[in-house]
Amino acid sequence: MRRRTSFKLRSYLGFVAVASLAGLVIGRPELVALAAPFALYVAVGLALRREPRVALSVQLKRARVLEGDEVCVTVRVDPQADFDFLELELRPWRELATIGEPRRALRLRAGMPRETLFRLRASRWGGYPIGVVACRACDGFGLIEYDLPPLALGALRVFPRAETLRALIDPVELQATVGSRVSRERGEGIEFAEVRPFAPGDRLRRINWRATARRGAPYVSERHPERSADVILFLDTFAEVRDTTGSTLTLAVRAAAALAAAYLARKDRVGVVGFGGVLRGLGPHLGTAQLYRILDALISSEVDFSYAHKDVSFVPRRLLPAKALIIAITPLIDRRSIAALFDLRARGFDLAILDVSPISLTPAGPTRSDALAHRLWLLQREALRVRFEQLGVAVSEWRGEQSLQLPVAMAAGSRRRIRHPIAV
Amino acid sequence: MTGALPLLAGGLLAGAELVFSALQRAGDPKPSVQRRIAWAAFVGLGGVVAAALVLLAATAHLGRSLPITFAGTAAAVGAVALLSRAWRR
Repeated sequence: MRRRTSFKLRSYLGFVAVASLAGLVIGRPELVALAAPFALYVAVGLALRREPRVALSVQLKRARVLEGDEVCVTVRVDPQADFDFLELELRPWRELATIGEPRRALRLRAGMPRETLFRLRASRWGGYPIGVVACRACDGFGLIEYDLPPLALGALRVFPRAETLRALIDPVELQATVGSRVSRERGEGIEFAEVRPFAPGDRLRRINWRATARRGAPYVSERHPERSADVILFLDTFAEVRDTTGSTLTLAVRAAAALAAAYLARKDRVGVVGFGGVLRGLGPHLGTAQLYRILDALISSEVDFSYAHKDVSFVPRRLLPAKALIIAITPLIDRRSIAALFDLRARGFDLAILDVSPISLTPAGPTRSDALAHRLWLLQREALRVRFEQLGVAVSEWRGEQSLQLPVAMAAGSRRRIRHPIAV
Repeated sequence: MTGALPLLAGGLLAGAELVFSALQRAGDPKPSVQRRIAWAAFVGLGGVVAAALVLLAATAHLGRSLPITFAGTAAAVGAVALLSRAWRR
């Protein structure tokens, strides 16, 4: 606990000193008499002062919330003695906004605990400390201020709020595992595909009796089996563009969370690769538990600055299974990640790119040469996009203002148009 | 002038207390205006007495300062009593 003299004490002592000195210098006792009540006040106040004896504890209603949710923190103050003034000041983490007054002042009576509720709003996903509550106490005379050790409020995990997506990018190839996507192959399933002549080994229950009766020879029905897909969300964490309103990484993580939830709801296996200065990965799996694993992995995503060159060979093979659909979520600004995407395509992976556009975060500069440079940069991005599309990779831009559904549907549509690439 | 000095000292202290309590940050223990005036008056009265005692000890103006001090103190007490009664109404 740190003690500080208050402004009041300094003012009173200053007045007493000046008046007493002036009284001595000019030989007038009246000035000393004028200062005497202030000196007496200070003396009595300092003699009767009591140090605050309080126990502070914190109760957090929920340690896991969604972006935009309210976080309620209750600070409990257990006083062991009467105290006139205790001020609690909430100092939250930068991603949390305080709702209401961040300062609360309490009058404490021994044995009567007080609870104070602070409300915050989580504005961005991530795992971070909530902040601290600074405690300042002042005695009844207001002469000494006590700074109590700040109370840490614990940690919070804020998950990105995932948008519900209806249309998704369909993978070109499906896996052998059972799922809810109708495969183009023939086999056991529900969807009818075609009829073909009976062959030795065919089960009798597959005979199509109508076709058999019409053609005079046994025919069997072929069906499309239901299969699942492997979807890898390839998150570019080499670089980001940010300003006060947001960042490309924030958008990328929101998009990844929405896509993961949507694909997992369709019984597909989903994995995540965070490709950047530090490689993070989560192998593809099914189910709700995987969704929470992915969200946990996503909220620890951050841009780790690195000069190290990395390519796709650094990614473990289990994170990039064969026939997987890879959805790269990237601002397309770092050469290493762009090279990795070309490399993935050259290795035959089914690739789609969701471009979390940095354009709205990087306006052109004030001069003509700045404007020219900005136009060149935009042209460069457009050329890159054309190069990817020539390789059969759909590139769809998302600026964050509109729904994610729009770029996802556009990517799905353009994949149908560019199914046959010009050159690989 | 010397005789009224304790009153001046007490008034100065009471005024300073009022100013500092007005500067106090808002919060649930912030005392009401009535309580603040009462506290300032109490401190002011103490100040009057303290200043009077110092003046008595330091000067020989006993004949003048003592009656004025007691009269001023009684006037201040009366004023505070009137004020608090007015607040209660």
